[in-house]
Amino acid sequence: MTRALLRFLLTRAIGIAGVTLVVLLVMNFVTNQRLEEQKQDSLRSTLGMVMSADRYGKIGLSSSRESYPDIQDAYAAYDKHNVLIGYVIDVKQISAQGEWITRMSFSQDGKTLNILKIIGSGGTDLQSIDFSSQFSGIAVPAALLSDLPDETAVNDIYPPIAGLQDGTYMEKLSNADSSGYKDFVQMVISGGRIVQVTWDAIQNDGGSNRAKASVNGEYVLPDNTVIWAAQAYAMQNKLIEVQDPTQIAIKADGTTEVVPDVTMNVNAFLRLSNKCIEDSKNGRTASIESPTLTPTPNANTHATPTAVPSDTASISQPSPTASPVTSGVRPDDSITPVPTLPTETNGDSHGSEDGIVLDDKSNTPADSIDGLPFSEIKTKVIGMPDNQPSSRLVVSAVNQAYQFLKNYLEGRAE
Amino acid sequence: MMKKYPAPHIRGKMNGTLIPLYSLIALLPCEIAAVYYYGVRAIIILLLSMTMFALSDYLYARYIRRDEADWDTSSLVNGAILALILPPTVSIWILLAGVLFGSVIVRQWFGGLGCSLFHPALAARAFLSIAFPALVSTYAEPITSRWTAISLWNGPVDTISSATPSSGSGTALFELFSGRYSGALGETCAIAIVMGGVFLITSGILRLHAPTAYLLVITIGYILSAGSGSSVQGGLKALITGGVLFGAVFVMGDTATTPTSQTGRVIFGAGAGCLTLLIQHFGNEAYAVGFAILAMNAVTPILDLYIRPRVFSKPDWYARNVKKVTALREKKERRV
Amino acid sequence: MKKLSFKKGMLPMDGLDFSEGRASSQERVLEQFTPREAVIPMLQHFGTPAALAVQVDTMVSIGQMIGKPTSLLSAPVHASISGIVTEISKICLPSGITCDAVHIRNDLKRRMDHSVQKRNSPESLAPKELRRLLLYSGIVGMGGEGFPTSAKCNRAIQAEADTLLVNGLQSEPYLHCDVHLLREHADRVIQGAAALSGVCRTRKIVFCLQDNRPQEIDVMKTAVERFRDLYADRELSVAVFKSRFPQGYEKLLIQAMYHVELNTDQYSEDTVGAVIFNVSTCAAFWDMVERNLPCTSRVITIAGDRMSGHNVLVPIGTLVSELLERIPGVSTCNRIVLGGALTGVAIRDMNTPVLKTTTGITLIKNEPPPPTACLHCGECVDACPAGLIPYLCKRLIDTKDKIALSYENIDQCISCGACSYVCPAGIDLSVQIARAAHKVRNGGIRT
Repeated sequence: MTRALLRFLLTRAIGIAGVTLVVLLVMNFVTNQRLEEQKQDSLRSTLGMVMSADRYGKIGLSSSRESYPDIQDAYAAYDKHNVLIGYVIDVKQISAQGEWITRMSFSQDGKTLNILKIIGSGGTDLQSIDFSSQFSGIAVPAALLSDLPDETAVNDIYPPIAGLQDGTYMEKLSNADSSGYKDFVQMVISGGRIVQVTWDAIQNDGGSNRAKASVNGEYVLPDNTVIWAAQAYAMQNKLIEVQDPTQIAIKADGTTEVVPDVTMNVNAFLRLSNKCIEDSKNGRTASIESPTLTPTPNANTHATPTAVPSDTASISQPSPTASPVTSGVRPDDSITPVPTLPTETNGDSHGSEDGIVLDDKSNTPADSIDGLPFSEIKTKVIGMPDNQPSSRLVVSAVNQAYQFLKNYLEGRAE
Repeated sequence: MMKKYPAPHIRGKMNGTLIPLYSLIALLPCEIAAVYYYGVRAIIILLLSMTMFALSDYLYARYIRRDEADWDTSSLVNGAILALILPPTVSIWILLAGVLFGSVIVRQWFGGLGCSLFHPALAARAFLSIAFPALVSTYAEPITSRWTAISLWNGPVDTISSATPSSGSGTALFELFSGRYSGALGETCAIAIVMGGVFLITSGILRLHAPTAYLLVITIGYILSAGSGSSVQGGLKALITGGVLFGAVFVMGDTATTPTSQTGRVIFGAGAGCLTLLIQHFGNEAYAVGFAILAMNAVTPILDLYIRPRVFSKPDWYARNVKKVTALREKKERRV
Repeated sequence: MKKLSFKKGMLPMDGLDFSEGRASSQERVLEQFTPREAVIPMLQHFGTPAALAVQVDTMVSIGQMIGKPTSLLSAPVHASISGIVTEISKICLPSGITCDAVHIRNDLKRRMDHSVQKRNSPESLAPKELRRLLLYSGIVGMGGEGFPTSAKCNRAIQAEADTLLVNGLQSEPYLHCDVHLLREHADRVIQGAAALSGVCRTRKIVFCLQDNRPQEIDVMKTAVERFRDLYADRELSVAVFKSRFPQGYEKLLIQAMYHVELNTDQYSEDTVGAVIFNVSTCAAFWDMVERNLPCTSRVITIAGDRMSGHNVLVPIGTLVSELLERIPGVSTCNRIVLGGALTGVAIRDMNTPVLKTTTGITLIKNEPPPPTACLHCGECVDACPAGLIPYLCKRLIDTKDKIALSYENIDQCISCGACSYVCPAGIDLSVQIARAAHKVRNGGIRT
């Protein structure tokens, strides 16, 4: 075996290997193209019923499989010039009539549901009594009329304070407390009711907000009880429930017994809430630059149990909680993203520190639907009067798709 | 005084070490295709099969058979062929069992290099398909889960598409050529096999008698069975699928298990073709090629014995025997 | 023109002429080698050795007869150089036969014997006169067989052969001395062949060439046209053969020409009426006819697997050691082969003389790899021109299975070496088979 022979063999081997690799890659490229074309053809024929597009790009579901178990397929639809024209999402559910797939097409921003079709197991379009058409072109998320709590009943028990003006209000303490936190309360009034309250404190020296700090274990309450964030959360909810800070009685040491689990001093919260209500009565909405908050350290606030108000001013968007039933397209020119609300439940917060499970269904306040607060619901549909469970399923499918898409779009925006 | 040398004093370019190396190079396209389609699992199976085959051959020949010969590069080829005709989901233990059977029983017990009666890789594959039918008949989908090697150690459990062998039915011709359908590790990619075959032919190693006869018989069989419905595409499909092409190029080129005479090789190829057609029609389609070639391997010594070249200036074998027979008859008649 | 060929055989690596495109085809003038000493054996032919005609200290001149023929199957030996006889000793020839040899020290005077002189009309000599000259010239089959040409002529006359084949099929690799003669001395070859045909009384003369020598084919064709008028009573023609080893073997040449396969005890003269002479034999005979110069020198090729070959005119009896003195790289050679690389004999003693039958010296540097076990590939079966199954014969010889061997027709082996050449396992098939065949022919193994 001479060196020349070895070199000869090696060059032959490398040559033939290279040629093989090139041939394989080219042939597989062609095969991939053809398979893709076939797939697009079949997609065009199946997804075309809700959104006709030139090309459908599959959206990976692996990361959101746990959060949205029902979502079967999600596609981004593109036109001939490869411009995004919307999204198609399939949600698979099991109803009394058996398994069905709710196929929806959404606009580019994910806020408008264009067409909804319900496909039965045989691939047939289950269009029972014009139900699907109720969803054409509506703004999402949606809710069934029957889902919403009887507002009048609520109003009877805890009537809202008269004279409140819609808007977002914010008040904060002028002095920091001993640990360097400056408390603030942000309140969203909508339809004359308090719909959202946020209580938090900013760290003077630029650290994380108190809620986050408490979750991270940096801020610990002295008597080693429930962490601050959870207590504040309970207080917020209580206030939304009773609508009036004066309904929450406090003891001399600043604690209250009205809300279970809350052992800390809530004086500041009530004072600031009262101030916010005064602001609301006088129409002093929060100025744009007013929240001298530290920008949220992590934009993905889902992991924190408390709501950290977004530093954009878009929070003044009034929520159409009391809006009449609409079936047409609602012009929705609000700026994204919708601020994340404390009531939003998310699979992401499973297993947060200290063992608190905040998205436990029993804990969620009754003022949310499909994990979405009423404040976020854009459209109410009547549904099928004779088949409320099925209507409920479809609506929840719509909302799940909406949440998935929002999540996806946020992920993309990052 | 110099050493005494016998004539001739020059030798042909080919030698016993070189032919297997050429074959290894010719197998490279198939190996690359296997790695391309089945990823890290294919790499591990190939390397393990080759090294273990070579090692087991060497150790047996050196320490048990007491053969003074050097490393035998042809065991690498056998190892590679064995790996390429096994399904990609095969577990390592099954593979090692096949390697041991092929190297020790089929090769070494018969006398090592050039003496084996059956093709070692094919015989090992046949052994595995009889001994562990379930474990070597599950095929995986190509491309998917290329870079996971989980099922290597604990047997074929994941990414199994079906128990159907590499019939490739319902696959487009283009995919049949590129090999993108589930089948044995290296048997599926026809274009790679053709490239290896062209390399072997141009290097003058592959003698075309047996492969040509084999492929011709398969084609004729297809035309006869398809009748008026036969097409070029169908014919190509019949030639490519089921390891027909792989067997023709890489197994029928083996020197030890094919006849030495050209006529013998043609008969070998034609016989293997007929048997393949028969088994495909009436038996298990999965092992048609392998068992057909193995059966013809068994016939090889007989072909060697009876098909002889005509000796210079002597009447040929048939004429001689006809003469003998007539002479005997005359003798008998005279006696009567 | 249809190319003729025998069946089977093989084509060595580069189509036979390894040194093609190098010096050989441009080589026009022969180098004439002058040795210091010549050792001339008495047995350079097939048959009985010549009888010594000189003693020590005799002054000899070129062309002087120093060995007298002892029988019909014998040839005289002549001094190839002028000088003084220093010694008469027994030497061992490469073939293994021991015989007397005359050592002559060269006086460098190039004295010609008085009998060497130009003839006036060499073309018009009578057959009887030509026959006498042939007998005197000591010419033997110079292609390597060494059969005395006069004896061959006698056989042809007895068989009334009508065709004379001039064998220019030098199918051994590296060697091209015959080709050189055909190209540069076509006239000598043609006239010599014509003279030989006069001796043998044949009408047709066919020059056999291989198709890998297009230049020589052209030369011969034009030369044949030139001589057509001079030899009007004979039919001169050129036959082209496929280049294949071993095309030059008599039996295979006859098979290619006449499709007749000669048995071991058959002669071409009897069966097809053809007598075969080598190109060198023809050229040597023309020297005898034209100048009365007997066979005292010949053209040989010095070539090798790592060097370009060239042709040299060498006096018979020149020692190989002296001939190779000026060739670079001889000391690094593994084998020095008298004859071609495929059938030649590797000499063990550098002081071996060049014989009348020596066609060349091949220097082999490449050592073949060590043999492995038989691969059962059947290459040898395809190559054997005799239709044997060499790998099986070898196995039977190894196992000493004489009965089985007796059915293998091993006596048909022509010891061409094709089987060994093609064997990928590097087994020495041809040597063992040829030895066994020799034994069978001599009755060693009963068939």
